[in-house]
Amino acid sequence: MGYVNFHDSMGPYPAGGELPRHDEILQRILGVPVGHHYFITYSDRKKVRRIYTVYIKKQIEEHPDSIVLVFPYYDNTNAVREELTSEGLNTVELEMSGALVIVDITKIVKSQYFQVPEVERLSEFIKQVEDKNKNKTVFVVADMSVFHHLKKSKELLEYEKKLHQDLAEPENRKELCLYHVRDLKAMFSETEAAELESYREGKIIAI
Amino acid sequence: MDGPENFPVFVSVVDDEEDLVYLFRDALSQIPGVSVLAFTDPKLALAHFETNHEKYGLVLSDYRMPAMTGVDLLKKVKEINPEVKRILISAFDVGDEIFSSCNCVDVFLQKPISMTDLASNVRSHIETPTVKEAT
Repeated sequence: MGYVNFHDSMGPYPAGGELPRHDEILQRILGVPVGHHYFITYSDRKKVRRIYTVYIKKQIEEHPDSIVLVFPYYDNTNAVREELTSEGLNTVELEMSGALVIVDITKIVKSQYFQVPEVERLSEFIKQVEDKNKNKTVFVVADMSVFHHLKKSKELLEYEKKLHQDLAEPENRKELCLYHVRDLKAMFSETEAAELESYREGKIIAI
Repeated sequence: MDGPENFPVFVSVVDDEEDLVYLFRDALSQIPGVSVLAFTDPKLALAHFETNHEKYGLVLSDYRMPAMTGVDLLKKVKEINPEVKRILISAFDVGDEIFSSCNCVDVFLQKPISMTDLASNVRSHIETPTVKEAT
């Protein structure tokens, strides 16, 4: 059973349990091994911003030869840079060297450069980065709520199904896909939500 | 006895960032003759508008919000009561296609914005009882 049923009326937190503490969540996310793709569901933007900022800082510090790709949706890219800078990261230097890439996810999924359906453009972008940086670990933080606003929930579900069936998560990538709980509830019926959860069984973390 | 024209005009501010929505509310509450309502959930904002639209003068909405975009909200506001002014605000570059496709936004404001500019924009787009009396 997944960590959370985001369609449950109890909301994004484990029924009957305490709200997971910030540090516990952070440790759980940091503990996700490379080679995995996790869903992160959130309902508090401040909290998720704080957690992904510390997560990114730790990945950059602990894996200096890696690449961190950040694709925000609700937070604008300058706000993300400001948060990371406030944590002591030199974002100008990191972005110049290519170790950190921060792009509004909308710019990628709406880009005509990729000749694939919108839901696959993010993967295409990531694959291109990986191809150019063989042997480097790639950490991805992407806010997928954009697909709700683009009204692509069916396509997203199909895409997740395909990923699940392929069982081919890249070995040198760790991917965290963020979903706002309100978007998930608006995007998917209960049946679809259950289907989606089954694809990511045990790989859903609620913030 | 006061006629309905003397009741304050409702202005709603919709933004999923709690800090911002309350900041906007406080700034707009300085405008005489308006009653400012703050919502962090666009669906709740829409539900309130549906039941009270005749009292509304203006809806100010953020663009990117969970569950419903500001454009989707303002489209519905226009359908329900086209007389109500609609302002979209965003920290992002909002392409022209949004305006041409929906034709539901009267004014677009770019974040960051000073509270003085925000209040001045809102004031210029609503007709409050105070303004009516003065003219």
